[in-house]
Amino acid sequence: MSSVNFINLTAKEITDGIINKKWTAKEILSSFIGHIKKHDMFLNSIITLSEEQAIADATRVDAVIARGENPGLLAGVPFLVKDNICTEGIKTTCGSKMLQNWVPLYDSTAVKNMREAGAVLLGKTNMDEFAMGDTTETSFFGRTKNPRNISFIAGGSSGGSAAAVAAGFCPIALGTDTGGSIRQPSAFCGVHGMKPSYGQVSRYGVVGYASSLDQVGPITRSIEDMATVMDVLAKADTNDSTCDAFDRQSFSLLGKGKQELKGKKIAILSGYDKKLVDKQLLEAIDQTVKICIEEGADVFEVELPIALKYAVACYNIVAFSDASSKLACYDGMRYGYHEDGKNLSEMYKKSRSSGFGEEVRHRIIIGTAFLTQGYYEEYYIPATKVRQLIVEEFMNLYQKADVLISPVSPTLPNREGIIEELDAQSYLKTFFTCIANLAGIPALSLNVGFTPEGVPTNVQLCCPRYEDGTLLSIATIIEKNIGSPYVAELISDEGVN
Amino acid sequence: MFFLNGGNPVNKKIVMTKDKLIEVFDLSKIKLPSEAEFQKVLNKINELIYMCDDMRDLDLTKVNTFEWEMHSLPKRREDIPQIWDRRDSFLEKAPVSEGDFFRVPRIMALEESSSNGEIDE
Repeated sequence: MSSVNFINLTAKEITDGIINKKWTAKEILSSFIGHIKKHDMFLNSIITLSEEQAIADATRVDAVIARGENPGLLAGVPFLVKDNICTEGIKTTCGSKMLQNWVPLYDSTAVKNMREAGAVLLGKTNMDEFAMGDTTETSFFGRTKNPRNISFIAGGSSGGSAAAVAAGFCPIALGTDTGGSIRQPSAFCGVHGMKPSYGQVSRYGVVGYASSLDQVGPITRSIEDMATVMDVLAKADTNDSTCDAFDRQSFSLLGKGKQELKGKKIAILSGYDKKLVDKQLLEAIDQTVKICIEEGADVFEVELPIALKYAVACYNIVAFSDASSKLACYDGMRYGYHEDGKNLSEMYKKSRSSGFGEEVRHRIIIGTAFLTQGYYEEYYIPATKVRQLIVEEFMNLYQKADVLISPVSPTLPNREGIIEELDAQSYLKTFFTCIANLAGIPALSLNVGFTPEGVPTNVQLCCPRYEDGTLLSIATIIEKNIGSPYVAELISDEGVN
Repeated sequence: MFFLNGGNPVNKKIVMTKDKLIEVFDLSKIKLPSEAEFQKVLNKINELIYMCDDMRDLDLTKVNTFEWEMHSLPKRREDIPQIWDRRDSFLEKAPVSEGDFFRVPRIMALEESSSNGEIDE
């Protein structure tokens, strides 16, 4: 047994150690399981810990190594998966009473690819119900606490995945991102999170929220690990007709080449009311810009007037309408929680009203409203046209810029239980992230440090669609200047920090 | 409240009314909630409609509705029947099964007799 503290290792370090026989996959697994059992009862980042399956996976990796075969890019790396991504034989609840006992019969393509690369599935992470929320407080299984400070929310909807990576429960977790659900919790928990380009990663086996916006992506503490996970995830898939079939570049090899920002054109988003953004987050952008200039990049400000004015309204109509359609199958008969009724209609209504939580019910209602006669013509169709204008606005931007830098969220993580009204700041809260989903572009929430009080700060980087490799290269250079985020210190057995 | 155009709600073309919202609940197959929750949903929809009214400023007549563009369409799977050997494990996951079938609550007959939706033994 090695004396190394495995919890602090990156995925790359874990795999290198296993391949070089410094330690085994089972030793690594045992260490992470022990850490989770000691601390997660206080954080609630994990809904299902699949220890038996993890032991079987780790044993398989050790056997492959013993036979001298190639164990894969992520050999022996423990990973966790958001609980809306299907896992064979392991409950996939979507954080909902509706699916609290549902066990899929197959792995999603994302999970299958990770396991084929030698990664060891530890279990499933907490999330806002059906990915609808940005705090992980709408989960049927209770809220996830932020490991950087347990009085803060973890963000959402992939709050469990981000909290788990920050707490050192795994070096890699998978999340899904419909309007910022990977990037915002990653920002709040002080780790890196990436939403790949739409069409880059298969969505087969992902319980969808809004099909035209959803993407699966990695949450890590190192950009090098993120690039490796992208190598594993980004593949054509005949089971997903929206997953592009072109040959992908190697993202991790890109990171190994000579990295430079010289001559890169970097656009800084402006045009919004900066008084609505926390000072520390504006300072984080300034710090990042300074690094880019020192590295030889050309930096300039840009405005996105159409996106700024219309994106959030457009996003809400598209996402909620999509959701009302996607969630129609949970009727207590074909799928999900069942309650008896006097007739079919009453059975549906009782099952859906009890099975879904309040936020999900409200989004279904709003989405259905926008798909009814009159509202469809007046709002839904115009929203799809406005979305086209937003896509074109981004295409024009990327004629003159390689990357766009903006905040991820206008605020640092809030304390738990703060109910936010629909005001200016809540509008911006979604704006910075949802524009990337509307435009289908890759976007990365990069941790750039912590305030003196230990609160994470971050910036968002967005590149043109399918320039995921460029995005990771630029993030690598910035990370080299700033350093990677550390594992959160969980001070006592009570998890208090 | 944050409105982008400083518009006036009176000028909205379509507001959500209580009667219309009752219809939407029915279409969504969701029970009508308490009066307080009903009012909350009504307010949320009308706030969103108000926000969306900004889109009316745009001339969208010559703009196409959004569609994803792809570099390369995925290769289609061959249309060849496959032997599916997972029937037993699938049936094991059913809440109630009998032989090769899922058992589901008997609804049609219950609609006639108005008894509860029990699984008919």
